[in-house]
Amino acid sequence: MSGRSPDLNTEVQPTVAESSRVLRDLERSLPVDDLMAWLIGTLPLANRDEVFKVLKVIYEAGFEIASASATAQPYKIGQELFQACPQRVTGRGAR
Amino acid sequence: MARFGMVIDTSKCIGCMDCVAACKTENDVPDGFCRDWIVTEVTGVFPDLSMEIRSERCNMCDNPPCVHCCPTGASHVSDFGKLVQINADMCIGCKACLAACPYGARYTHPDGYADKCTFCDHRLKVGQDPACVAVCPTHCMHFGDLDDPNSEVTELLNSRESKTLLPEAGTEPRVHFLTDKAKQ
Repeated sequence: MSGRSPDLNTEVQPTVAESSRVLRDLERSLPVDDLMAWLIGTLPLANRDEVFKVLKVIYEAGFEIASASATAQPYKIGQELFQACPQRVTGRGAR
Repeated sequence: MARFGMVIDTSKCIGCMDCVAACKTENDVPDGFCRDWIVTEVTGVFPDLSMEIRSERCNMCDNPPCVHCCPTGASHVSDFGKLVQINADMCIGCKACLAACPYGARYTHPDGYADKCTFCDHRLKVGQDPACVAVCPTHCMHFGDLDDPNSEVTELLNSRESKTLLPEAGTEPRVHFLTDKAKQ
């Protein structure tokens, strides 16, 4: 299978300040039971690639993230619908 | 709807790695990575030793932790054969699935997305076996619908003792390994 992941480095560039703001907001909001729902709510004007870009920043920031449910649920970003299992964020570990 | 699985006869596997080479060729697996691999396991106490050779890959688990931990739904269970697959366009490369898989079946493709065995679903869709199964010189690998009581894989599992890897992980693997014992 050939594939291509979204180019999270060049095509979409939320500002460093925006990513930093989201990280701060997430830390203040802990625990978060559904990371994707929280992120979509935090970035209401962002498209899917922008949300995914910030999501990757969150994963790289050392938060404690675990599956909250084995049942996928629908999410909507703009006109785009997709399904994923909700992820719970409980804390931020040492980096 | 089919529920595809694999049954591998460990008493016939000689570890020739034809399955590994076929997979890399068929799926254009990048250098330094593989979607299937050979494990040689020696058990017992000398001089009563026994050796098992296994061709391993993604277990296409019925309870897949890689799917449950994927934040974007890139890892999902496909309608076709209920296979655990990856939508590279949705993968952000967070590596949560790599950490969650107890079998080490995944790797990060140089293009940034998680990658693994697909059971060669592109071949299945045109009526062919996965490449590894098709090339095995000892015919130790069998592929089919585990929900079909008349399939070869179901008949093998009904007639021979078998095991799955790390059953204690609760992942319910769909790759079964036959031992050399007949079922009592």
